[in-house]
Amino acid sequence: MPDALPSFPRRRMLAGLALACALPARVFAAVPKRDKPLRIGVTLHPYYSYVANIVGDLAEVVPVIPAGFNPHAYEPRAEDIKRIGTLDVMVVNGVGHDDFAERMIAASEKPNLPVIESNADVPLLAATGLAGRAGSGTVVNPHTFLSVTASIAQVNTIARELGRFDPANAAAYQANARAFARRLRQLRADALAELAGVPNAEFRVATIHGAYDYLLREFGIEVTAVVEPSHGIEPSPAQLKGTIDRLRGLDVKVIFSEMDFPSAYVDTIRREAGVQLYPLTHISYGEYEIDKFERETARNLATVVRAIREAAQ
Amino acid sequence: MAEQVVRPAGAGHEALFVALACAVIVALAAAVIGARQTPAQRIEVAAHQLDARDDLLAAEQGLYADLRLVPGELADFGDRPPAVTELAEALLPPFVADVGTAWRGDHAWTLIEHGAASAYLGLSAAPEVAGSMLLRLSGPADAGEADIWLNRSPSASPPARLDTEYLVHGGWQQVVTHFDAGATRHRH
Repeated sequence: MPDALPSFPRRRMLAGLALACALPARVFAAVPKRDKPLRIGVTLHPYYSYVANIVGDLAEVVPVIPAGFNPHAYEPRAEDIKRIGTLDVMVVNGVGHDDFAERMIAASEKPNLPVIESNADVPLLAATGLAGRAGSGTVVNPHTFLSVTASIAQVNTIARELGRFDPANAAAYQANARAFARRLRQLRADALAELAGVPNAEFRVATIHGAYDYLLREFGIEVTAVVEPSHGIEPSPAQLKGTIDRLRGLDVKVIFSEMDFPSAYVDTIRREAGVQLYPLTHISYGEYEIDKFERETARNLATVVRAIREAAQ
Repeated sequence: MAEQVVRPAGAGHEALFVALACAVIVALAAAVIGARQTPAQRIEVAAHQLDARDDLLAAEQGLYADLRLVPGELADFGDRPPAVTELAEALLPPFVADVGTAWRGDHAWTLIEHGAASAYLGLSAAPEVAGSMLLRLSGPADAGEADIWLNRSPSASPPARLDTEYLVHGGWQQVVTHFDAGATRHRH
């Protein structure tokens, strides 16, 4: 049976902390006392930002995929698998964007490396594209890291779980997570405030990549069509024609494209379907930086706001 | 001139063996695929429940995700559940009056308390966009953890009690969700 709200204490975090203090010693008995900072592996850029903001300088965050690799087409390399042997714990997306991590861990010197499932408490949406249309109820959209709300849920989960591995710093992790969440909420509030007075245009949007459902739900926008037939797969000419016909038929005026992984066929869609193109970032490319998630989320929010304002004119 | 047709030795047999080999390969592949197939698992929910992934409208999914974070934030507000205005001042969605609220059903949020039980009730101005929602913080013994309820009736009104039986009888449905690991992972 599914859970209603499995991870939330009923009322008070203080009560939860008191309970945690009162837990039997055996719960933490397996956790050795650390004489050096925790080494935490991450697979994707947003998770680097999440964990770096949570731990500050109390632990080390280690990207498993080198900067510059496209996570959609990443094939594990021997040196990356070797690096896993130096980790204490790995933080994963776990719902489809870094499934390679599990196989890398299995092949590493630490096949039993603990894994933190960031999305354990996120209400997951169904996959888009072919996987979604196939009606398989367990294939989910893995792009939870592109939304503010789902990111806060993941940050809360990661902070809580890291506290179990590193009890001495658990309170600091929680405090940092809360401060980070407040900054993320401010980003969202600032973006939505810019839309004050804009009428609900109920305009239809499409996306090239099936990545932005979580983000657009925060604005109350539903994605009408996704161009890619499957995650990271370019459409064939026949599929492209079908998409253009569908966009025309559905009166789609706005299409959110992909900033980091541009494709030539996107211009064809813009020209033939007469839609306005707005590029969003997948936050999965470039250097790993602590402020990357906030910076690029602010840019995505600003792009959505601009699209809504221009569509309402 | 006499002609003699010389057939390659074993030509018929070769064709037969190749055809048989092909058939065996196809049969083996089919057997392996069949043996490894797992049926698509559908999570069944109770009659009074809704699955957040499959049964909610887009705006409801957004509101539900926001509401799930609220119980964890209440520690900052003292012993009693804060007023809605306090939650809005802390920028906690969906209590902030912005387009995120207006475009997702324009809910009117209030704190309701019945004895030891309390909940945040959002009555929808546009049930066709998103139904009325109820975040039940605590309740009678049957309530357990905090949970979220939905009522798409245009005439939804504040419930007089917050126990599960009363809510179900009043047309409210509990929203539930479940975790699914990546489809190509092995350890689920």
